[in-house]
Amino acid sequence: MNTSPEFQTYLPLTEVTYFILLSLAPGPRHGYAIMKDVRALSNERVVLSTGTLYGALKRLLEQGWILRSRDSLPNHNGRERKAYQLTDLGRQILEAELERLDSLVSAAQLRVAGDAS
Amino acid sequence: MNTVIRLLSYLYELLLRAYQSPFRRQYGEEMQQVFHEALEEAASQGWRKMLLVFWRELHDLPANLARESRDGPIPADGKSIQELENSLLADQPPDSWRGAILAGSPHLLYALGLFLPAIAGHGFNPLISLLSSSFTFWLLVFMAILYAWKGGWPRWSHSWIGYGLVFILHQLNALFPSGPLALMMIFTWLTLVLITLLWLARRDWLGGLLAALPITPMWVWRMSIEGTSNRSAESILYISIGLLVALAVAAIVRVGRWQTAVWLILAVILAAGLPLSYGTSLFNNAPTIEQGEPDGMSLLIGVIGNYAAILVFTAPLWLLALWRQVRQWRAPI
Repeated sequence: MNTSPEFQTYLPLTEVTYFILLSLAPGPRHGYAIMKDVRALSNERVVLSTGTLYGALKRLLEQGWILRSRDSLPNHNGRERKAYQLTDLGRQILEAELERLDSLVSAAQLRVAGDAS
Repeated sequence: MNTVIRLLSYLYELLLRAYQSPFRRQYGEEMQQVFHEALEEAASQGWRKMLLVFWRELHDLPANLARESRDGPIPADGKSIQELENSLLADQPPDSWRGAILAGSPHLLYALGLFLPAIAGHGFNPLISLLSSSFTFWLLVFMAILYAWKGGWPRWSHSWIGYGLVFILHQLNALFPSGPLALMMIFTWLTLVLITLLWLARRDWLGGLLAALPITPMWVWRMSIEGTSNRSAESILYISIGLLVALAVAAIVRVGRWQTAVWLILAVILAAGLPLSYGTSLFNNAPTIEQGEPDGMSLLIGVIGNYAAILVFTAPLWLLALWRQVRQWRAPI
């Protein structure tokens, strides 16, 4: 886990950024796969439009948190697709956010458990 | 189902035009692919799901546009912000007489189409039937837009584009007369109007102003006609208003100066709006057996309400004119 203070300036992440980074954690994905994955990860709560998705991807690319590359699999129309993947920086920021969320949940659990006893 | 996919894909392509060109160039094609894939998947669950996919795009559009404008530089088609401001607010070169007449004619033709039959009486007259046929008018609108498209959207075409938007509203009203779908369609239409007007205003702000004009009296006109079209005296008044709007638009296009345009349009809205708004209010407050004659106060509220609606519709263009005026006041002498 990364607790470097330089990453703390980026936190907390917005919900959309968090889910997009989380979706890219296992490996590269193309736009539509990210959209579907974010929906599934959030239990259908966060449903991205293409405008929101690509606005966020543009900002993540500019910040150097993700990379854009050619997808090895074209879509069913045979058109080339672009894939997005996490950079080392992006992964470190995601890990820092997970750690932050973890500490929040731990604090809440401790307090709730203490109140119950 | 394929037709719905094609239609929604086309509308989506139009929506994409609202984004700044650098963003569109970089992500537009990919966004279209993703939207298409989302539509195809939704198609298996019915057309409502497909509409929902499109609705989501519409719903997020204003926030996304605002975010892109705030985050990125705003070079519109390669122009810097300063160049864009200057081009928006510069006086336009005067158009030809032909352009002026073409720009003004749809307003007069529309008024003639609506009110001429009431003046002509019941006898059949082929010329009046032709002029008053809505099919003839909308066919003309379609042909004018097609011709303008091939000619690179000259300024005269903007009045016709405004009527084209009104035609789309007519069709949506006929297809979806009531219910939540009708509301969704009205919202879609308003978004389309906003995008079209902004697109026109970015190319030529005077053109944007002219395209907004058919939409403003139209709302009032469409309602007022239902109550008053059978009276010849009122029909003459309404045709005169059509002529007044047509003359004002022709003058604006011919002169090309923004001050002339703003003052003429203000005069037209004031002159045309009062009788039209009064007509609408009278119609909306028509006497009934239970309620008797409508009182003066409800008529006044109706007139003010209609003026407010007109001002809201033209607000972006008024603000643009005001912005230019403020800049002129603040400019060093």
